[in-house]
Parts: sequence; C-alpha cells; structure tokens
Amino acid sequence: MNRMIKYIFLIFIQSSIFLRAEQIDIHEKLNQMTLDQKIGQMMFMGFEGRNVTDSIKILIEDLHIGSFFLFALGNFNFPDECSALVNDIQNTALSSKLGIPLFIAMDQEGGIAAPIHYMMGATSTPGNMALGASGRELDAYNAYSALGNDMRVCGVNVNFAPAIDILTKAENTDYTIRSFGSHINITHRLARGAVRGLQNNGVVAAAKHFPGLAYYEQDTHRFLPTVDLTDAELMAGNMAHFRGAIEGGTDMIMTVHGIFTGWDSELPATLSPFILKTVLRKRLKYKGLIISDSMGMGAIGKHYSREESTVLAVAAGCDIILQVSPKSDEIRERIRAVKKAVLSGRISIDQIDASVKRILSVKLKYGLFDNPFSEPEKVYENMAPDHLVNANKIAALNGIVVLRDNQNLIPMKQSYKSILIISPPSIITRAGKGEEFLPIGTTLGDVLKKNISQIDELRIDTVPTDNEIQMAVHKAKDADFIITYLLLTEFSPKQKELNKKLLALNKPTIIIGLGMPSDARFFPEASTIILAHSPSSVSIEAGVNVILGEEIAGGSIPFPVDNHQFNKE
Amino acid sequence: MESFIHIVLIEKQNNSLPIISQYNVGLIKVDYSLILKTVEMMELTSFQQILIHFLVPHEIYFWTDVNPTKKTKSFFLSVSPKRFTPIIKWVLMNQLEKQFPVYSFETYRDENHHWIIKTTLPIQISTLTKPENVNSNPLHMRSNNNGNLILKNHSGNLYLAFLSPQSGDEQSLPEKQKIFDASHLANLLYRVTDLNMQLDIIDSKIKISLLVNCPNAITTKQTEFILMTVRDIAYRSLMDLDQFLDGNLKRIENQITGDFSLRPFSEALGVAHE
Repeated sequence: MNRMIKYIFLIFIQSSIFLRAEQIDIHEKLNQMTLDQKIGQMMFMGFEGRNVTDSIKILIEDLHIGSFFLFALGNFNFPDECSALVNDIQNTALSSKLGIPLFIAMDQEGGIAAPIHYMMGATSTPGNMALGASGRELDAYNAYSALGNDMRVCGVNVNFAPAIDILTKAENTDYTIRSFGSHINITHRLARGAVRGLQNNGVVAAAKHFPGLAYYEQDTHRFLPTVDLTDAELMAGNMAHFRGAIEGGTDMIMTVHGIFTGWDSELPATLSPFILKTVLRKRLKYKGLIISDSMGMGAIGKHYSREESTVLAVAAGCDIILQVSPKSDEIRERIRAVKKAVLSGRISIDQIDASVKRILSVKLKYGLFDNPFSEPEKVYENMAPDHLVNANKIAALNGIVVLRDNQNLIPMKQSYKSILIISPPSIITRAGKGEEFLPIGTTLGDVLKKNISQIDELRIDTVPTDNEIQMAVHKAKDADFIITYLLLTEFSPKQKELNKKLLALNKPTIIIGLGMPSDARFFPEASTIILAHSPSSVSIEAGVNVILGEEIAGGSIPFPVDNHQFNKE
Repeated sequence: MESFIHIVLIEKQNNSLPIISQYNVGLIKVDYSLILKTVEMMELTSFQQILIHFLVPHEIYFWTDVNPTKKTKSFFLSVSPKRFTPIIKWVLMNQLEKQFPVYSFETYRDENHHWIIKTTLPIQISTLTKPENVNSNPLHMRSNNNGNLILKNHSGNLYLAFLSPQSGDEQSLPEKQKIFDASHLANLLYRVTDLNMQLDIIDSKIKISLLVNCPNAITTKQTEFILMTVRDIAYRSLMDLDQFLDGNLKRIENQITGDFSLRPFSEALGVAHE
C-alpha cells in the first residue's frame, strides 16, 4: 500500500511538473528568483548519506543548492539504489518552493574510472587511452554513449567527463590512461565523439580540464602547479582538443587549478578572468556552462580562503562552483561571500543572472523540468544494452596494438603444458599515488581461463612485494609459457624488477600492457609486447582474443613508447 | 599497506579451533550448517548437539573478538528468546571449561533485547605477526529465519587501508580514492541470500570453502566482485604475513563457490619449486 501511495505521489509530481515545464519561461523564472536562490543554483556539492535526510532538505529548501555530486559506496552501493536516491532528491527539489530540478553528477570517465562499475551491471568500456589508440570518433561515441546510457538509467544527468587533456609526460601520476593520448588532432575528434555520445544519451558532458591538466606532473589535489608556456605555446594546435568538445556541443567545461604564466602570471585558471573570459569565451567562442574543479582541492584551498576563492572564481567567469565536500558550513560561507560581493558591487548582478540563465537553460534542454526521474526497478534491464556492449567490444579491439612479436608467439599455441599468468588482482594499488586503490574486476587470468585450462594464475599487485616476486619467479621456472602484464610500471620499481626477472628466464613470454604504452620502454629485451591500453574487462578480453589469434589488433600507439624521445620533439 | 584480514590460529588446547579473523574478527557466523560444523568441532556430546540443533533456528549467533592488548579473546553468543539463555550457558560453559581456561563469563542484554553471553579467554596467538594501529571492530553476520543475511557493525576497518588518509580531508584525498572508498564494501553482502564458509585443517594446511547463494544473476555478479576484492586483499595481506592463500572463485548461475587453501609461504614456495 505504501508503495502504491508513493507511485501515485510520484505520478502526481511528474504530472504537475510536466504541466509546468510546458509553461516554463527562463526569463520569468529568473525574475522570480531571489539573489539567495540564484547563488544557490550556482553551487554544486557532495552530500553525505544514502537517503534524503533533514540536512539535505535544508541544503535544497533553505540554501537552494542546484546540483549534487554522488559518490559510489558513499551515497549508494548498487545502481538501483542510486536511481532511487536520485528520484527522492529530485522530488525534494521539485516539491520545494523554488521547484527547480537538480543537476546530479558523477565522475564516470570510463575504463576502470567508473563508479558505476561493470561488475555492478554497467557496460565495460575501454577507457580513454584505449580509445586514443583506436583513434576512431565512432568508438569514442559508442563508449561515451554507454557511459551516458548507464548514468541516465541511474538518474545521473551530468558526467564530469570526458577528460580531454593532452598528455605530454608519462610521469604525470594523476592522469596517465585517463587521457586520449598525446595527439591533439586525434583528441579533437575523440572529444567531439565523446561529448556527443554522452549528450545524445541525456547526460550533460563536462569536458575537462580547461586549459589542461596534463601539462605538469604535480597533483592539483595537493599542489598548485605553474606552467611556464607562452601564449603561442598554449594555443599550439589551436586548442583543437577543446574545440573538438565545443564542436560536439559540450554544455559544460570544467576548469583546472593551475597557473598558466603565458596567460595569467598570478591567478590559477579557475580564478583567471583572462583565461575564462578571453581565451575560453572569446577565442574559442564557448557559450556553455563553466564549472570550477572542486574548490576544496589543495591547489586552491591551500592558497586562498574559501570566501575569496569563490568570489574570484565567480568574478572570473565560473557559472558553477564545485565543492565535492559535503560540508554545509563551507557551502554557506561560499554563498555568503558571493552575496556580499554582489551587494558590494564587486560582482555584478547581471553576471549572476547570466550564469543562472545558462544553468536553467541547460536543465530545460535536458528535459529535467519535464522528468528528471529514473526507474529503479528497471535499472538492470536498461543498463548495458547489447548494442552498446558489442560496440564497446569493437572499440576495445580497435585499441589493441601489437608493439612487437619477434618470436612469433602470437597467435599463442595452446599446446603448452604449463602456462603461468601474472595477472593484476581485481583491486590494484594505484602506483605513484600512495595508498590509493582501484577496482578492476575481471582479471587477466579469469579471461584466459575461459579459453585455456592448463594455466596457473598468480594475481600480483602493481606494486609487488618481495614474497610475490619470489613466488612468481619460482612458478615461472616450472612454466613452459608466461604471460605477464604492465600497469603503472612507470611508478613501480618492484614491478619492473618482477618482469625483468621473468624475462631473464628466457622462456616464451608475452607482455600485455594494460596501461601507458610508455611502460613498454623499460623492457627492450622483451620479444613480444601487446598493448591493450586499459585494464578494463572489455580491453583485457580484446587483448586475450588477439593473443589467441581470434581477432586482429586494430590500434596505433596513442602516446610515444619512448617518453624521452617524445620530450625532445 | 596495513594488514587487515588475518587467519589467526588460536593456541590449541585439546582441539584446534580455526578462527577466520580480521585480526580480531572471529568466526563469521553465517548459517545453520556452519554452526553445526562448529559444534561438531567443539566435540560436544550428542545431547548438547541436539540442543544446539534445536536452538539454531530460533536465532542464535556467535562472534569473537580479540582484545586490543591481544591477551584475551572473547566469545560472544547472542541468544533469543531469553528462555534459551541458561541452556546455552550450560552448553557453552560445560564445553569451554574442558578446552580452555575460562577467564571470565558474563551475561547481559543488548539494545535489541538479545541476550548476550560473553566468555573471555586468555589466548596466545601463534606465529603470525599482528599489525599495529588496527582498531577492533568485529564483523558480525547472522542469517535470520527468512534466510536473509544481516551484517551488523560495519566492519569499517576491514578495509582500513582504503581509507588512508582520513576521509573528508579533501586536500589530500583525490576524488578517485573516494570513489573507491571501500569502507562499506562488507555491507554490500546484504543482498546475498545465504553465505556459508567452512574451515578445515588438514595437516599444516587450512582449507576454506565458500558457498554463496544469490537471489538473481545481477546480485551474483555484484557479489562476485565484492568477494574477488576481499579475496585479493586477503591474499596480499596474508602474503605479508608469510602465508599463502591459493584458490579461486567460481560463478555458476546464481551461486558462487570458492575453494581456497592457506599454508605457510615457505611451504607453498617449496611446492612450487618441486
């Protein structure tokens, strides 16, 4: 009975919204809003909990927060719970006096950077570096269509993706395979395809990180990096990657917290009027929403007060301020600071109106006033549709590169009696990033076992211990054939040691690269190296299919294998 | 990385009672058959076994915890309804006194009006090095009469290593880490219909068998992912403790099985070398 009442209430709310949506007039709505309501709509934040609590109601009803960011495991466990939570929170927003639907966002970048994980029912996608190896716009479109479809099925309507920064250094610990690679022209078309894929599936793309995260090695969660490039150097390639996203119609662009001295020697991009208004709006003719990266990150938080950074960001041209932290007192400080700046004339009300108008227009464009809801009971039915699963298998295969095969080990003969697989475990250490972990799911061994029975699998972390190395070498001595992997090798001396020791046994060995192509440069002695560019399930399967000779690799290297050679170019 | 899942062998008196432990988490009480297996291992009399047999469906669950000083181990037995408490107490005391020098014994009622029998024993933990700075937080599961598995106490520190640095400190906690913050991972098992883990000691090797039934295909896949993660975390942690966990999971329709063995690393290395 309760469920029936809930559905009737939902239908009632949806019907009334539908009627209202037909009549919605952005200008009229804007004129009806108070300054507090306008500023609240410009705030994007995280929240704690798995249901609509009183504190969330306060954020929506009293602070008029317009957008929320979700964390898997933090805000929900399973996709259907995500859908139910989003419905409840949207209902709260629509039932409030302001009655404006919410942006609900996630960082679903693809590959293994996917909070809605494929083992939870979502589509497995190859990840950006593998798409860079494919270089095909259609593959990017299909990968991001899958991400968009699965997000919208869960009620999420904004994706802080695609990450379209051009990677210039293999040593960048924060970015690596999140990038499409080093080729700006390839990134141009992939960015366009990715944006279209998301947005055609009802999810706002937030192309990031403008003007570029990957120029430096430092992590902006902790440091404020400085990029000493001239205006001409920064505009090299005419910023084709961001032009690609804009051509694709991206409705949101996220800024980065780095100083670019060629444009602004003092202020980070997020706070720089020149970078946002002159470069992004005027030179690149971008008309969509500008959202800051999270303002609590070290790059900003360690150098500016909350109040000052928020005011500077809005004054610089950010339409939306992102604070992934759920702390309501911090968001209150930001709102108060902006209000004070408007009342004192430091920020004009016209600028606030322009930002809110953009926000409401995008919410209207995506039909959120009509129906921001999803169907929890149909989540698994609608996630990972066959056509997108199959399209992503093709995209993953197009991202495979056989770097070399000097001993003709591919296709692999199945007559070996004893095959040792060194596989990444289902959860790996994010080497180079301290105590961080990434879930992968299906392991290399899991996939190979579907095809070959006589294998012995050792799941060894990206940062192996001495015991793990010892065990692997002992087992390898008894094996006829070895398959081992590379992932985050750049940052793991122990992984290098392990693979060097395995190669020194002079047994037939295939190395499969599941991360950066440049990891391969550490092993010139390896006769056979195949690059899948991603540890996601679909890429591992594609790599195994190529190893077994069932499929032909279709990619080209998206980032120089010899990083040092790249740096000289 | 800190170790946080351990298989700890209690110093045996008459019998070895293997305890799967998160350093201090005790037996993961799961279902009827595991209780009976435990009862069997405790060498109870037939009469006592019949009593347990009779009592189990009426909600009885069992967990253990190692005191942070690592000098005592407590067995907890929650019994409901109350009238069974004296019987359980009699069964427990009668047997434990034979096997272990009982340190203390108390009965109290918890907030859910379950009667808890707490027995504390002095212990010696054999051979394994214990990690520091791991807080006690027992994993506590039970199955109710409807076959649902209920996990109490979040067992947050089961995944402690995922949470360093402290959550909430945004400046030092990149978003990716938050996404994969696994403090709630253990909670994810609440959709499982039943979970059965059995431990057997064969010479120096411990065999661990796992059987998980799920209500549908998607839950099975999701559960497999959770268990794969736990498996790989356990593997790594045990390797740090010179123990070698071998084995794998299998998913067939709505069921997941796992057969693992645990033995000293040196012995496993010897086998690999043979």
